[in-house]
Amino acid sequence: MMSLEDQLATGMREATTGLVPPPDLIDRAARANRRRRNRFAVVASGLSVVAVLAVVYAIAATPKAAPQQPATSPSASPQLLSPMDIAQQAIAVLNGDAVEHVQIVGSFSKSHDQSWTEIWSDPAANNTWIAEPVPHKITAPVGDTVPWMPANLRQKLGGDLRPMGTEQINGRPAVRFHLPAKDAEEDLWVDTATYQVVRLRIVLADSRSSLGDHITTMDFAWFTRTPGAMPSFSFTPPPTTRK
Amino acid sequence: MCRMPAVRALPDAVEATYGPAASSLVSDERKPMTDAYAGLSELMHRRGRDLLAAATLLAGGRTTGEDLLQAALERTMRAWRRIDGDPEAYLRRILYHLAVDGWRLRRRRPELLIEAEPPAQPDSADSIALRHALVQALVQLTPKQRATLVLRFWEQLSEAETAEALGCSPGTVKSTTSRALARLRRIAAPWSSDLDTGVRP
Repeated sequence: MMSLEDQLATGMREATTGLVPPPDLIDRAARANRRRRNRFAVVASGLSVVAVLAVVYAIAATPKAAPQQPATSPSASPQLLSPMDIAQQAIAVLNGDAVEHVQIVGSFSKSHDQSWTEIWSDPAANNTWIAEPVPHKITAPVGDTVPWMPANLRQKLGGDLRPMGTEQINGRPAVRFHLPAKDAEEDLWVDTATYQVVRLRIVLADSRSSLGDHITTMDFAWFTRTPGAMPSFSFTPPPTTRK
Repeated sequence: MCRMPAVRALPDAVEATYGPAASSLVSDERKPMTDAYAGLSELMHRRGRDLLAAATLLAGGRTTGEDLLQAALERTMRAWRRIDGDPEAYLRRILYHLAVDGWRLRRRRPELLIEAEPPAQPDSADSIALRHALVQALVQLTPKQRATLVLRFWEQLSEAETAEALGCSPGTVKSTTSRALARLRRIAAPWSSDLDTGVRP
C-alpha cells in the first residue's frame, strides 16, 4: 500500500511518460520573440514618425534653426516621465534618420594608454566616415553601410535596465541606466530633454591583464536631418577622415 | 554597392581595435537564429522531455504545457546573452515562475477537467485509477500549490530547494504542500483502501 505522496509521484511519472517536445518548439519560441520585438519596433517607429514630423514643422516655422538642434523635441516635460518612459522615448528617437556622430575612446584601468575613433554615419545617404586613430591602426571599410549603432542601442534600451539616477553629461542632465550583462558592465546615459542617447560605457573586467579592465566610452551626438535643416547643414568630416 | 559586408565589417573593425568589450556592440538582430540560440537547442535536445513533462504537469495538459514551455523559452531567449551559469536552471526557474505567476492560466482553464469515477468495489486496477485521479485533480489546485507539488514529488526536491526555486520560505512550502495534499486527500477519499494513511516525514 502506497502513501498519497507516492501515488501522486508515480501518477505524475505515468502521466508524462513518452512526452517529446515538438521539434520546432525552439523555432516557435524564436519567432514569438521576434514578433514581440517587431511589435515593439512598430510602436516605437510610430512614435518616431510623430516626433520627426513635429520637428519638421518646428524647423519650417524657424528657417534659421541651428544645424545641431536635437533630432526630436520632447513631447512632454521630462519631470513627468519616469526613467523607463525616458528609455521608451529614446528608442523612438533612435528610429529617426538623424546623422550620428560617435567618438569612441578605449582606455584601461591600470594604464594611461588610450585609443580613439570617430565615426559619422548618415543613414539617409548611406554613408559612413571613420576618422583614423593616431597612429593609423584602424582599417575599417568606409562608404556604403547602414547605421549599426542605433539598432544596437534600441536593443539595449528594450532590454533589462536599472535606472541609476540623473547625472550631468557635457553639462546636460541625463538619466543613467545600468545594463546587466553577462561579460561586461554597461552603462548608458539618455538626455532628459531630448531623449537622445549621449553616452555608452562598457567595462570589460580583465584581472589577468597588466593593463587592467578595458573601458570603452562612446559619446554620441545626433544631427537633425530634415528638409528644413539640410540647406544649412554642413557635413564636413575632419582632415583625418577618409571616405 | 554592396551593403552587407560593410554592415558586418564595421563592428568587427571596432572590436579589433577596442577588444572583446566592443563585441557587445554587435546587435543580436544580425545573428542567425540558429547561431544565437545554439546552446538552447542543445539544452532542449538533452533535457527537453523532462522540461516538457514539468510544463505539462504545471499547466494541466500537453498542449498548454507546450505553450508554457514555449513562453519560458521565449523569456530565456530575451536574456540569453546575460545568463551567467547553468541555462537549464534559469529556464526551469522561469518555467515555474510563469506557472505560479498566472501566465495564461488565469485567463484560460486547464484543458483536463474530466473527473475520475471512484470505485464501487476496490480491485487491482484501482491504484491506477487513483493515480490518474490524483494527476487530474492537480488542475483543481492553485498554480502555486500545483507548482509546489510538482517540485516536491516529481522533481523530488527538498522543502528548502523548492523554496529556493519558487522564491519563498521553506515554511510557505510546507504549509502550501500540506494544504494541497489535504485537498488531494479529500478527492482521493473513495480510494482510501488503496492509500497508506501515514504521512511522509
